[in-house]
Amino acid sequence: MTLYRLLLRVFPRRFRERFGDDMTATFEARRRDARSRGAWATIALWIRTVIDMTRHGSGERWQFVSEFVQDVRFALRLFRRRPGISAVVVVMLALGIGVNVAIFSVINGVLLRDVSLPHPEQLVRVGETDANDRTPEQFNAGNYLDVQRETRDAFQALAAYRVVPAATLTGVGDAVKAGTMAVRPEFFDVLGVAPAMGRPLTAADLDTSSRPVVISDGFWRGKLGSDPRVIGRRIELDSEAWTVVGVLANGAEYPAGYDLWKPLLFSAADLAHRNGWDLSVIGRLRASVTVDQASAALQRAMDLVAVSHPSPQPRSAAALSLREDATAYVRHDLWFVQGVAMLILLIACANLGNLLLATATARHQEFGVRTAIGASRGRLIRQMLAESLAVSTIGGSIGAALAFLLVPALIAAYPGDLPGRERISVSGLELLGAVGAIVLTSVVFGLAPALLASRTRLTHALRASAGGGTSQVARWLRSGLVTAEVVMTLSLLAGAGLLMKSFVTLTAQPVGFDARNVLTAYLQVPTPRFPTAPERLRVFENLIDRLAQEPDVESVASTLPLPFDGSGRGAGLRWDPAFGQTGFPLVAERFVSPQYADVLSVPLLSGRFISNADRADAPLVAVVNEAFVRQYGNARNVIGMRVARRADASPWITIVGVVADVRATYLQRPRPEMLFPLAQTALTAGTFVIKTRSSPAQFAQRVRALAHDAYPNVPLGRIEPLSHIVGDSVAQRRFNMSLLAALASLALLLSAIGIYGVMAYAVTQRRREMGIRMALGAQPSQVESLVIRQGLMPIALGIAGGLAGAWFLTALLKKELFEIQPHDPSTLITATLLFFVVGLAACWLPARRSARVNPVEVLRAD
Amino acid sequence: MLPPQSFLPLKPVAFQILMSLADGECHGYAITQDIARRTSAAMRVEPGNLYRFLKELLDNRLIEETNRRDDDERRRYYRLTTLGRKVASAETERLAALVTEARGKKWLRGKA
Repeated sequence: MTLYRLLLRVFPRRFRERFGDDMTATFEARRRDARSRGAWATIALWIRTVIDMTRHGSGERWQFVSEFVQDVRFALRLFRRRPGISAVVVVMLALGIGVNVAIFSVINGVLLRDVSLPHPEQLVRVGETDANDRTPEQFNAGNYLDVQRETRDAFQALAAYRVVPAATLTGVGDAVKAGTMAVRPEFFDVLGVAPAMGRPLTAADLDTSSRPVVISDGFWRGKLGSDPRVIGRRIELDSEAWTVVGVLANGAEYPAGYDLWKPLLFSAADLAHRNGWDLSVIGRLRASVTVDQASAALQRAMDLVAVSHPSPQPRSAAALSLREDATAYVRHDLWFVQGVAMLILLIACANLGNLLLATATARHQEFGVRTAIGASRGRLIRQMLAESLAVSTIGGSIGAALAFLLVPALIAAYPGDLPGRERISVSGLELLGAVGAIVLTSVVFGLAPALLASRTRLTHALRASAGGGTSQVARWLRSGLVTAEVVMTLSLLAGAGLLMKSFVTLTAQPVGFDARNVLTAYLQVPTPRFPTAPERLRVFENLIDRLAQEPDVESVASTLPLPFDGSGRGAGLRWDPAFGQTGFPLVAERFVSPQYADVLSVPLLSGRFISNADRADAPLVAVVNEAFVRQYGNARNVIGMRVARRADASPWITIVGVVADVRATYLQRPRPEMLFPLAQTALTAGTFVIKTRSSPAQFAQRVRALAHDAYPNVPLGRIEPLSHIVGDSVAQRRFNMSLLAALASLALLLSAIGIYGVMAYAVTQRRREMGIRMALGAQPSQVESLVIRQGLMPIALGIAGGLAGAWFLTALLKKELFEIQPHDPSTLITATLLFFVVGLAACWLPARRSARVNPVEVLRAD
Repeated sequence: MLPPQSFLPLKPVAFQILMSLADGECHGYAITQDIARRTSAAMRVEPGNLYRFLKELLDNRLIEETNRRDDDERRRYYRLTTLGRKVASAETERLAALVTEARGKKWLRGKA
């Protein structure tokens, strides 16, 4: 009897409590009967009982599982019935959900998660603004100190910092570069995080000769071997001894990617010069102060500055939430892409809805029969919902898996800097989104067909034999879904078309130089090792000479800045009174060696270019570009005119030549620019441009080796062909364009499949009608055009709606467009034609099949 | 009370149980014996299975427990409810209609 008790335990406890005694009594009765029939009967009883109890006990316990299995098995019949279409729908949903989850993961990582500093809502970027742009830019030291003093009510702390050339760490293994910032001591108050070890920089560090430095957690672990006694340790940076005073906590680095924080010192000249801007400023608001209130306080402070230091162009200042600032330039793109991805999902859903509608209608008869044998309407709806749920679950699971692959690919393909990219992952919230999408698609797009199909009247279904009636509502719904797909797809096509046209227009512009076979190599000369300008010039000239001797090299020069590398320098000019110009224009500056124009094939228009004779001790000269002549030349010959680089008493510089314009980026029109001889400036950095006879990329190693031979302790920065740099400058646009083009193609494919599916189904449904028409004398071509005409109706409606949709969608792209209007007619027409051709093809294939119907066969089938 | 139609179609075992209870109250063992006898042992309902069906029928109020006790105190007796009777009757009609329809297909050998 113990054994039986044991077997009873297979049943759930509540079942056992309810029926256990009764079952035991029954078993005892059976055993008595069996005993009377002999040992074999008893054994047989036991065997049967063990099997029965384990099977049904576990069955009772796991009933919900078996019900689920049953439902799924039932739902999968949809697959077996139409494997091709089901697979297509699954793939479509997988793509739709995968793309959405992936993009949402990126958005969640970049836009929705917080900066990992305490009270990130209090952090703001602060900067001077000018009259027509309220975006905070940089500060100068004098204004910064004044403003800091006047805004203590609004800010807990306001800190200026400047990214300085990466420091080279020596004395610990190989020389390595480390991202370095010079910061005011308040910087650490703004961060609001105490160092993990040691202390932050303090005001006392500003006037000490001990060179204190705070290092990052990563630098401490990676470069200093997690030295536990690192506080007070001396490290050699750019050949100077610096003392580590603190180690920042992991994750408290701001901006991410920097390793060293040195004190930012202001010289007397820095403080006096209020006409240049080179300081970034971040602040921490007081608890009750809003960003707008802080901006107002900053403006008042700048008004005071304007009184104490009058300037021809008074400026203001403003604050911007750091959270917004960090993501401002990607936010628009990301949400736009997410919106596009949603459209893809909707198109996939429309196709799912159509498939379910088609199968539901095809199963009128089955449902009729099932109703006849007693299935309730609710039961049929549940079954259809289970089917749509099965399809979307399979599609969604594949999609979620796809997202795991897509996210790294998206991040890798994204050309710009994605803030917080290390936080981007597919995790709980994103997968929850996927589940939400699955449930939503299956319920919304499964319910309508289910409701429709379950309305089947028994008599109606049984009367309408195969190929017979399709309900009017179902037909409308199918056409409606096709129309909706067309609207969405056409909008996307128009958007993608605009971006492509804009990109082509942009990159087709002449840049003003020849980037072919030009290799670039950035050099930062460490000032501690080469403190004087002549010493640094010797480094540049020596390397230029060595490179020029290489047989593969045609010519070599150095330039700062390099066109298209995103950097730029400007200076306020003072005119020679004789020139008849007034004001202090800001012009772009470029510092070049004499071969610059040769290497980049920049044509000289008049006068002469900078030559080897323009040494430091020779008269100061400059060359200007066409834009300079256009803007300031006043139809006079600028050659021979004199300017000074600052409003103060800097020496006069004589303009000796005019060169053609060189673009700094594709986007900017060439601006007035002055080119100065490298030999007459005190530069610490520049980029070598090397015209090679063969492929420049192959020469990179040689350049690095040469530089290392000459100056082992002066590592070259990145070495890259100029054509890559030019390409990279529009990488963001190319990425946006490619992404939208890919998504639009996906949408086009999905809608083509959707239209084809609906048409193919309609044709199958109407075989009998077509057969009769042909039996009555209709030509195959007439039947074909009838089908196509009817198929094109919802497409034509969709195109009309799509043009309206495109009108709204493309308006969102305005910011991305270069020299074309969002409602560019030729793009809209092209997109429409493209869609029309695809739609026509999707209709024509099934139509051709209907024209091949053999009337005799069809009619005999009845 | 749910309409009898909503329980259709009944599973064969459930229908057999209702049939066994048609003539009066029975305990579990008696039901299995009755089913085996009526189906000439073609359908053998083992107790584990039987009690799962009894539970479902009890939960749906198609049958109920009685107060009757015999010499074995643990043994329970079950009987049909009004609903159970109606469901059994509806199921019989459904099956009859089905059989009538099938008869039209001349599937009943030698008895058409």
